[in-house]
Amino acid sequence: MRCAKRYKTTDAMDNRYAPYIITKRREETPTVVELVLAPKEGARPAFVPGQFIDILLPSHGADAKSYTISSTPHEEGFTIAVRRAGTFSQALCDKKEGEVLSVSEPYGFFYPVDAKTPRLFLAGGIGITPCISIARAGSAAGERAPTLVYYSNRSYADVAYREALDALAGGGFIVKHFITRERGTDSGVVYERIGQAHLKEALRRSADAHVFICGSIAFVRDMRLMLKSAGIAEEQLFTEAFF
Amino acid sequence: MNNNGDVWEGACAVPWAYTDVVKDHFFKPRNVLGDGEDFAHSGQGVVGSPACGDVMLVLIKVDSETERIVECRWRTFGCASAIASTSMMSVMLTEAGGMTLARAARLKPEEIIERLGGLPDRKYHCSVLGHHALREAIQDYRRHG
Repeated sequence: MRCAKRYKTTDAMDNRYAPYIITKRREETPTVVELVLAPKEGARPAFVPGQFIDILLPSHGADAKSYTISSTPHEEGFTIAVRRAGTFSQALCDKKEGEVLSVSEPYGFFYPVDAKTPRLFLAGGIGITPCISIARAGSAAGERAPTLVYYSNRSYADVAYREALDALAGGGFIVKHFITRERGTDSGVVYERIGQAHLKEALRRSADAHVFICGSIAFVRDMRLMLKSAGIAEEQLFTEAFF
Repeated sequence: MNNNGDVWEGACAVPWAYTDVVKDHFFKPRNVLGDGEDFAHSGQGVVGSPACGDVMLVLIKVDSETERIVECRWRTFGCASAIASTSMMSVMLTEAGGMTLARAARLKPEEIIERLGGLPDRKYHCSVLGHHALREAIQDYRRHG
């Protein structure tokens, strides 16, 4: 047991940002820009797939925003996918290759705790990014925990990382797209919101799955409440709300 | 803010009301680390940055035999929502004999907000600060406890 009368902040807390150069910029969808960031000096810090980095923009003062790393630890730099939403993300999407950003060390606790337990990812919009990093890293390491992904978007044009998801499919990795504001005839797509019936079906496949919910605050809240109504234990749920 | 703790915002003066539970935990926060208090703890977590404005310290005392959190103290530079969220979190951790470390490691901001009766979405991040500090404290206990 330890006692401490004074608790000091550390230099590390106030100086946790380092300069990173945008080495690559790509339009992933009409509303999502992918940026690859490399440290200006030194090596890129290690990270666990599912973690995020904070980014500071001079135009936005001391307010940092968090972005999940969508790349894997064996790739160069950090890759993030930014959806144009508010003023911060718009400014970040407009950055060009060669520009410098202030980037924090990776952080976060939204990742699997083992390599074997079946996984259910519920992703809304750009909330697919942790799943991409986790699944691709697991695949590269030869781990293939049975994984079911329910990915919800307003339109098919909004679907991010479509090619990456297609490349992961098979061998126990299944993706089901939910498109909520368009109608179509693709038999592989569900043209409605993720609902109670869909979640119950997913849990019938694997009742002991760990469920990773990532998206807007409202999406995470709604999915969790439906899963709790379906009888899932709180310990099976992992949440990461984007705000 | 009026005397009831409701927030009146903007020219339209639309009230942004905290629940009674939030107000209770803001005006009477539980388990706050007192000035100069010498709290014997098993794990410590500090998150945030003074430069950004929010800093959160969470201390946990763990029964090493049962691995339950038997006491918790916290302190923050933060807003009413951060204070209420962390106060509620400290109650959830220590009630009914104390939460196991395994369960505490899965405690989510959504659970804290649910116990508070809700928080406006724009204050969601306030519940995350205490949650992250708790995770840091658990990791600290695992390393040193």
